[in-house]
Amino acid sequence: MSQKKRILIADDDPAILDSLELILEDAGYEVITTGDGATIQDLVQMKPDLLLLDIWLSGWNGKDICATLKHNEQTKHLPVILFSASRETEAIARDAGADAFITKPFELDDLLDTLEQHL
Amino acid sequence: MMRNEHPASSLDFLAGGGEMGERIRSFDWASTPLGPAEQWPQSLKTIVRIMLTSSQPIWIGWGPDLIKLYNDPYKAIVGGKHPEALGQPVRVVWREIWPDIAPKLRTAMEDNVGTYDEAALLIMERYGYQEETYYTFSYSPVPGDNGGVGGIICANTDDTARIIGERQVKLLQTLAAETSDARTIGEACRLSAELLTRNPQDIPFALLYLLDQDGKQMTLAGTSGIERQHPAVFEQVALDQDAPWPFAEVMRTQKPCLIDDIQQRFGALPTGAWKKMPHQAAILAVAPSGQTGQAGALIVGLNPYRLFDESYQGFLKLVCSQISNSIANAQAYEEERKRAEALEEIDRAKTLFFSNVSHEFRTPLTLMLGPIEEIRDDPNTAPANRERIEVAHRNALRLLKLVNTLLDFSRLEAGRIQASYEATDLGIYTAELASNFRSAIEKAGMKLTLDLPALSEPIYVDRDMWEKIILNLLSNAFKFTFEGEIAVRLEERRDHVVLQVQDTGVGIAPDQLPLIFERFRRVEGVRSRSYEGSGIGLSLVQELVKLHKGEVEVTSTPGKGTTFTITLRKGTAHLPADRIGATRTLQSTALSAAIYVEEMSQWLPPEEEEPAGFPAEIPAGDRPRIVLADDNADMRDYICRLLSDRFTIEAVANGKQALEAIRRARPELVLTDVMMPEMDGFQLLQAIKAHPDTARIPVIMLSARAGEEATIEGVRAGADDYLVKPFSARELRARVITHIKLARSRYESERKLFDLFMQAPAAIVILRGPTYVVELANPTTLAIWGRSSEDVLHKPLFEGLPEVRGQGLEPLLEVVYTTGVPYVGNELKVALDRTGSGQLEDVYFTFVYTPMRDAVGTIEGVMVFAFDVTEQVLARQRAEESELRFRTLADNIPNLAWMADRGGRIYWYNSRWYEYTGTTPEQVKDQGWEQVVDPQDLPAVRRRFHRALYEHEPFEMVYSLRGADGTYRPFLTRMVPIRDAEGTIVQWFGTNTDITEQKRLERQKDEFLGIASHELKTPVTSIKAYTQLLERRFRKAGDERASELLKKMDMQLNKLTSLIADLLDVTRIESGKLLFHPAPFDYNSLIQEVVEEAQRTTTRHTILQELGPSVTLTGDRERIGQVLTNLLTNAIKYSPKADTIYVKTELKDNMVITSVLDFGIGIPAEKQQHLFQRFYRVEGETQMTYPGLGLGLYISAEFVKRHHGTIWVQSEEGKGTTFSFSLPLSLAPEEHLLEGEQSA
Repeated sequence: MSQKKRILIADDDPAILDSLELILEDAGYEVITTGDGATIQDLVQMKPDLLLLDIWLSGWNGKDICATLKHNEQTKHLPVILFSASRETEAIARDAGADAFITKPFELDDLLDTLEQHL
Repeated sequence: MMRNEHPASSLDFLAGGGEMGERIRSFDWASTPLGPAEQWPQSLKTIVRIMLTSSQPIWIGWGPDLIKLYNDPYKAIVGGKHPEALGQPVRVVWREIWPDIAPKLRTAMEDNVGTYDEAALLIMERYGYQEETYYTFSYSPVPGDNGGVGGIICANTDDTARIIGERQVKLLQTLAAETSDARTIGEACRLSAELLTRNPQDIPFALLYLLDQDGKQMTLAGTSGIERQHPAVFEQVALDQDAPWPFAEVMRTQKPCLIDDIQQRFGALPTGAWKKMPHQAAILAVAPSGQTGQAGALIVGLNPYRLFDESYQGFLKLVCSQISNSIANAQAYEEERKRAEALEEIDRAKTLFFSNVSHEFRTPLTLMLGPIEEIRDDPNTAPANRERIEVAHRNALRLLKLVNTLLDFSRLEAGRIQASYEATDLGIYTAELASNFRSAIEKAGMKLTLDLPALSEPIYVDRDMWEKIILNLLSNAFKFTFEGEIAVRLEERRDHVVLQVQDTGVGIAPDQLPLIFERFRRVEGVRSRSYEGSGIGLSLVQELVKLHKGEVEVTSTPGKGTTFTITLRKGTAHLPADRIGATRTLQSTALSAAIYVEEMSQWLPPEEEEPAGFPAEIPAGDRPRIVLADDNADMRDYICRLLSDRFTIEAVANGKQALEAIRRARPELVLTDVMMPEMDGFQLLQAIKAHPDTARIPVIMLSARAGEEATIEGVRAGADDYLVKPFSARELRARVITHIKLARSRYESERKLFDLFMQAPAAIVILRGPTYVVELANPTTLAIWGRSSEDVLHKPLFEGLPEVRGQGLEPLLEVVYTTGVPYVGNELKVALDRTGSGQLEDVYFTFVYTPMRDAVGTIEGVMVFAFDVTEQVLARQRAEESELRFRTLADNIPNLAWMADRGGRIYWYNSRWYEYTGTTPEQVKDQGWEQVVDPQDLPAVRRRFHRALYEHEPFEMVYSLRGADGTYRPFLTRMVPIRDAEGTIVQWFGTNTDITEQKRLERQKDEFLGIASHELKTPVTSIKAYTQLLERRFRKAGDERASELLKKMDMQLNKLTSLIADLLDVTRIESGKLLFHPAPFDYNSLIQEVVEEAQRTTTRHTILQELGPSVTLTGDRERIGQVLTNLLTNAIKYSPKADTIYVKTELKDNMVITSVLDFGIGIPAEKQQHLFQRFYRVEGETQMTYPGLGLGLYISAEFVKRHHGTIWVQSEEGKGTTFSFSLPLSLAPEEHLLEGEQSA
């Protein structure tokens, strides 16, 4: 399909959300952002093609969400990329079943590459 | 100040000046050639002024007549002529000395020259008599108003006293000095009188008289300045008359007497130094010195120009005193001399006497000997009688010998013996003579050694004299030698021979040696076989040797022996020629050696067989000393003879002498008679037993009283034995020997014990009786008590140590003394006054009181055995005190604290410890502390605790302890060793400090850091995102410049990110949360990656790689990469001017060594050590020259360390730096990357 891919970004920080949105839109993606409060259901209902989640979110946990999604038959096909400020948490990310792990701050090119890989 | 303002004030110059001023002012000068004062010439006025204001005696003579004016001080000089002298011509005033002064005045007046005379003699007559005076004066011409000399001014000084005084002193000195040699009274007087002529001024003439022995007359002893023939001189003057000289009064009162009319009495008299005759004489007493001094008187013709005043009298008295002294000295000499003469006289008389006596003796003796020998040799004589005759014979011979010797001597003295010198083989002859003594010597248990070699020539001696010499010397040697040997030796020298008689006898004391050859000299107080002897023998020997022109000498060492040495010259040159080979005049008075030998054998004990079974002998060669007291001389002799072979006996006549003898030298036994004068046997016994020093000496009493009672009485009195006379010799000997042996063995064992006591390092005291008399206190005791033995010995204990009373010792002693139960005291404190100053010192004793019992078991004393343990007690107290202090301290600190012994066993906890842990001492004893340690930490704690104990190192560790509420808290535990003075660990002291709070803070810090970096990263993320986005858009839009700017921004953001990452890493390292993810990876490819990345950050530098072959490392790839990045970043940063950086690898010893080289600023040597520390940054010119947090190397070092590698740097300032680190190629199975370990 030549339809734009929908990417869901979840992060505490509005600046990050905003900048990522701009970047991804520039790169030709459709971007849905969510800060906090949304449940997993909400997220799924938004029908993303890929989820980009911060690993520590206030309210709900990026890695838990990832784990939940990956364990769910219906959602486990969804690519989830977790990112975090801390490198140490890479193992945790893998444990949660994340498809990829990016550290903040990230290189734009790296991010875009990774996205492409998993879409 | 009022001034006389009347116009003609020309009398002002007469103002003042005292009396003379007044007189001058009121004098009628107009009636004199001077005219009125107002009209006097100015110069006169001036000098009058000077005179009146001077304090020196001054007179002025003015005008041709020299009218006299004078001042107040001059009044004394004019004396009786004042005040008439004022205004008179000098010629009138001083008419008596006008002849003397006129010429001088003329010189001044006419020649205008001043005169000066010093101490000029002027016979003045100012008091109505002529006077000897001495003045120093000057006449100074004073110009008149119309030129020429107007008058003179004269200043004076009275030198009279000085001049007279000087000459008097001189005479006295002379008298003292020059009469000291006078040896007789007459000489002293003569000499003194002569010396008086040396002062003819004060003593124109003198006569010295001495009082006769009868006290009735004075006899002339010396004259001075007057002829003996002069009519005034009388050889003798009776005292009872006044003429010619009245001595009586003077001798009686010893006061001087003045005679005025000597010219009338005697006419012309000598004038001495003067021209005028003395008109007076004085008689002064010359005092005798002492009771027997010689009294005298001195008549002195007196100086006509002096009054016999006190001064003159005093001087003459001193003269008499000097004379008296010299007489006294001379008298002393005379007396001494008279004494010496008297002694000589006595000596002479003695000799004469002896000569007479011995002559008278010889006759009957010789007549006796004949019949005695007949009876002795008659076979019919009964044996008992023969014995008695033998005794008689022996004694007669002895007497004869003595007499002969005396006679010889006196004849020698009188010069009636003449030697007859014959050539003699001295060796053989001497041997013959000496061998007569052999048997006697050997019988006495001694050795006779004859060393008499043949000489190369015969010696000229008088045979009889030589015989006497040898016999006397040998007899003497035998008398004083009791053991050892007597040796006679002959030695030949070049021109003389030397004969020596040497013995090993008692010797002669050094002070007696010089007197040994003196006649009648017997050696006092020395052991000898016999006390008989006239003391003449050696003197005779000396005289005989002298006759041979030889020398005899004696040397001796008391207790060792004596040697007599005779030296004779060879040949005949030294002998009177006419006596060589001449017939003898010396009758063979000596019955030669026989007599000597006979005598000697008498000194040996009678030969009695000692019976078998005799009590054990006293060792031969041993000579115990016995004091024997008996008033009967025969008895003394008898006993002496009985015992003197084996004992040394000092025999005295009564108890008192015995005591003295005992005190002088302690005997081993005392034999005493009972009945004696002055002090009898029982009294002696009492005295001996009373004194502790002598109480142990065994005493045997000899008594005429028989019967049981006597024996009992004797024993009861304390005698050790009692013998009744007559007693057998055997009995006496046996008892003596027994008692001595007994006493000795008792003494021996006592001695041994005593020695033990004395040397023991403990205090040993023996207390006797209920008052605890200190019988013995060994040196250690005395040292502890600070007393000398006199202070305490033989006194009750509490008398010698009064300060010890009432300190609790009395009851202890009492118990021991009464019950016989020993007492052991441990660390008892006693206060002693050890320095005698009254200051009490505490001494601690550990001691035993043991009862001492006598032979029947009664307690008679207490023995104390004690150790001074003060030091130990004090040390222990000190230790206890300091420990107590420690504990008090420890209890008051907020930490938990405890103390462990050397082995690490904790024996004390402070109260906080118990509070915190909620435990009781019971629970935690025996390492119970382990219970409260967090079980997780316990193994490590135990391990490190024991390591500290073992290695004697302080221990530090953080681990958790369980509190009373059950929760564990972290504590920082520290334990340090406590050492003693020698450095040995005596205990351990530990604290636990609650660091919960501290930890919490740390955790907070870490958390903060963690949060902070997280927080920092977030905005950085978005900024970076924006930046990159913009960069793309601008690039797309073709705005290269903007795009470049944004690229730069991006780079900076990377740096920022890197810094944040480092900070995070540090935090993790610190909190031990750094996790590694080891995995194998290819090293070279990592390097390349990192290098590429780094290269992108710099355009100025080129990073070159020189890599070895690649290896596969097992480690955290990311972290290693971080290290490389860090090093490269540094290399770039610190070589701003260079352009090349190398990265090298090298394989070595199972390690890969990576090096990053730069050619930058380098690092100074002193900074290199700090490089790997946290936050350390290299300084640049400003703070921001080399930006960065300084964490990179620290982190790199940590990472490398965790990988079991090492990191180091080589650098030279200005040249460049090389950082290198090594990584092991493979890790041993048990090794794993080091976990973070807490370090406090």
